[in-house]
Amino acid sequence: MANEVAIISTGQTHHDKCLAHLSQYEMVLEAMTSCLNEVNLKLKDIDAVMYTNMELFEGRAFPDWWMADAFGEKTFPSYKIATGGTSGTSGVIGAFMAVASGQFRSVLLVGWEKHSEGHTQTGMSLTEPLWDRQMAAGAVSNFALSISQFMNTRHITERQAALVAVKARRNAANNPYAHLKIPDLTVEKVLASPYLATPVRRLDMCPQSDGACALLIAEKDFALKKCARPAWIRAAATRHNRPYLGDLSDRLSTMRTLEEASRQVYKEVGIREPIKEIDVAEIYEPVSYAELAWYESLGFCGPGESGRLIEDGVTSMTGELPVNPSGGVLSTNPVGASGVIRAAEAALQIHGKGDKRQVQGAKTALVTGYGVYSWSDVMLLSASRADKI
Amino acid sequence: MSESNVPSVIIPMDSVYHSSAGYHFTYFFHKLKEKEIFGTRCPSCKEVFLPPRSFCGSCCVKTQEWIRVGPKGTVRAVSEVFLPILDPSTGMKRKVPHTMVLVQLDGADTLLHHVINDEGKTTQIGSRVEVIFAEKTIGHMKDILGFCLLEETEVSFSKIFLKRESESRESFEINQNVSDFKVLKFSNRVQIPFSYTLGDIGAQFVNYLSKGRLMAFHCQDCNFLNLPPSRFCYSCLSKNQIWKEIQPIGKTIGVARLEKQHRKHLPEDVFGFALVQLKGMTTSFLHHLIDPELKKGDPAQLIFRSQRKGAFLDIQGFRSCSLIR
Repeated sequence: MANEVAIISTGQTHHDKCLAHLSQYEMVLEAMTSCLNEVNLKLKDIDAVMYTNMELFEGRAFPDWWMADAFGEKTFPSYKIATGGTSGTSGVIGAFMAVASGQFRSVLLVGWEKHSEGHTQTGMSLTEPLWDRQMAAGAVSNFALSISQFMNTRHITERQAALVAVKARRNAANNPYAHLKIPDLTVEKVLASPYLATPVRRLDMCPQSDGACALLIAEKDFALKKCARPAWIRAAATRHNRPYLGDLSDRLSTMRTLEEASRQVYKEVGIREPIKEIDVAEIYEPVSYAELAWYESLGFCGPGESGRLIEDGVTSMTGELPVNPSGGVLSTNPVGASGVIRAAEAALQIHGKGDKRQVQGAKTALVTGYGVYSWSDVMLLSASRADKI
Repeated sequence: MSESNVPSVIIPMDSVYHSSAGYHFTYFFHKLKEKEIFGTRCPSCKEVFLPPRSFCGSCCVKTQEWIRVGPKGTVRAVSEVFLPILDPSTGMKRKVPHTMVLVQLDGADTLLHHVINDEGKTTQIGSRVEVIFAEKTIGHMKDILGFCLLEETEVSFSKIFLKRESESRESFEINQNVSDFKVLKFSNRVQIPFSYTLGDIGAQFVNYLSKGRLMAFHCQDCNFLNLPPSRFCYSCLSKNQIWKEIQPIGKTIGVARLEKQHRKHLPEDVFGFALVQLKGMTTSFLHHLIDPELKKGDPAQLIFRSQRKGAFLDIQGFRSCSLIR
C-alpha cells in the first residue's frame, strides 16, 4: 500500500508581464521561501527538491544551477521536469509518486517561467527541423487550426468561447496573484478584440507571464503535523501520445489523453458524476475554446453540450462546479509554473485559504494539466483521506 | 520582450545545429526533388504516414512500403493567421496575414501542416487543394511552396482516417540497401534574441561596477557574502542583507589559458579565464585572464576597464598582483 500524500503549503509570486525587479532565480526563491514560511520550515527540513521549467523559452541552460546554490551546505536529491504545459502538473505527480513510494517524506516542488526574457512562440516552433519547422508557429495558430475543426463538428460559437474568457478574467480579479485581472470584461469587449488567428481573438488567448509557484508535498505524519487541513492527493494520472499536429485529427473533440487520464482518476476514487461530486476544478485552458473542449473530455457534459454549460453558468463561481476560481491559465501563464499553480490553487481551496476566490465548503478539487499538442495530467485532491469522498 | 526601462541584458542566440535526416527522410526528399510525394505504410494497420515514419507507433512494427500520395488533397483545418512570430531560421518576423491549413493529401492518413497560396479566395474545411511546387526544387521541405484551391469538391466527405484510399495507389517496397544516395544531413540555424533580467539587486550591482566598485551582498543573518549578489542569501535564503565592498585582490584558484584560435570571440587582451578567491570571500570569482603569466596560487588583482557602462564586462579581468606578492 502506498503512503498517503498531501499538499500542505503553497507559495507564489505575483504574476505579471514582466517582473523586472526580480532576476529569474530570485523569482524562484521568492515562491520557494513563501511556501516554506507558510509552514515555518527551512529548506534543510525538506528531503528533496523538484523543478519544472521550460528553459528553451528563456534560452538559459541549467536554470536550476542557481537555485541549487540555495541548498547551502546540504546536498539534495533534485530533479527537473520539462514537458511543456504539463511540466508543472507532471512535477506534482512526480513528487507525489516519490513520497507515496516512501522514498522521501517531503518534496518541495517549484515551477517557473520568465517569458519576458525570450520569445515563447518562437521557442515552441523549434520542432522537428526537417519537416515542420518552417510552418510551426507556436500555440496560437496550432490551436486555431484545431479550433476550426472543433467548431465545425460541435457548432460552438465565438460568443460561447467569449463567455469563458470573461469568466476567467473576472475570477482573476479575486486573485491577488493573477496577471490579467479584468473585473469589467464583457463578451462584447472580447468579441471586439482583434483576431490573432481566426477564430482566436486576443482576449480568447492566455497571456505570457513571469512568475513562479511552489508546493510542499508530504506524507501523512509530516502533513498532519504541519497542516490543519491537508489537501490529500487521492489519485493522479498522466497520459502521453504521439503529439505531432498532423497526426491529431480533431484533437479538441477527441482529446484521448485527457479522457483516459480523467477516467482513471474517477475510477480510482469512485466518481461517477464528476459535475455533482467534484466541488471545484482548476483546469489548464490556454485558450477559451479549449476549456469548452475539456468540459467534454472530462465528462462534465456530453459532446456538443459545452456551449450550454458555460451559458447556463454551471462552471461560474456560483454554479454547480466552479471552474478556475483563480482565473486559470487564461489569466496567468508562466508555462513551467502554470501546472503547479493549478495544483496550488486547488489545494488552497481545500486548505480553505482561497479568500475572495474561495468556493465555500470545497472538499474535492480536480486538477488538470495540458502539454505540447496533446498531453494530459489529471489529479484529484480531497479534504478527506482514503475513506469515501 | 523587455521594455527599455527594465534593467536587462540582451543575449542574442545564433547557433547552427545539424540534423541527420535518416534513410526515410532522405528518400522522401530525393523523390520530392522530382516533385513526387511519398508516405510510408504500416503493414499491420495500413496507416499511411506523412512525414514518412520508419516505424508505426500504434502497431510497434517497421513500415514496409512507400505509397505515392497527393499532389491533391482536402483541407481538414484552417485558420487565417494575423499574429507574426519570429521565424527562428531567419530571426525575422513572418509575413501576415496568411492562411494556415492542415491538409490530408489523397492517399495519406495523417495531415500536412502548410499554407494556402491563393490570395483572395476563401478556404474552408473540405476545400480541395493541390500542392504548388517550387520551380527549381532542391530536395527540401521548401520545395513545397504551399497549396492552391481547386474548383472540385470532395466526392465523399468521409470522416478522416476511415477512408483507406491508399489501397489503390502506387506503392513499392522500402529497400534500405540502396546506395544511390547518401543519407542527408541538414543544417538548421536558430536565431533568437533572449534577454536576462538583472532585477533590482543585479542592477545596483552593475551600477557599482560602472563606478569601479565590486560589491557583494552581505547576509546579516548568517554572515555569508553573496557574489554575484541575490535578493535571497544563497546560504540561508534570508533577505536581510547589506552591500559590502570587496577588495579587488585575491588568490588564483585556477586558470584556463586558451590557444589563439580558440579565443577569436574574446577581446584581444584576453588570454583565457581565471578563477580567483577574492579577499574575505569563501566563494570564487570567474572572469577573463588578462595576464598570460598568471598561475594557480598567484596573488591576483581584478582590473576595471577605463570606459565603463554598467555591465559585467566593466571588469577587464584578472592579472598578477605584485603588491601582495
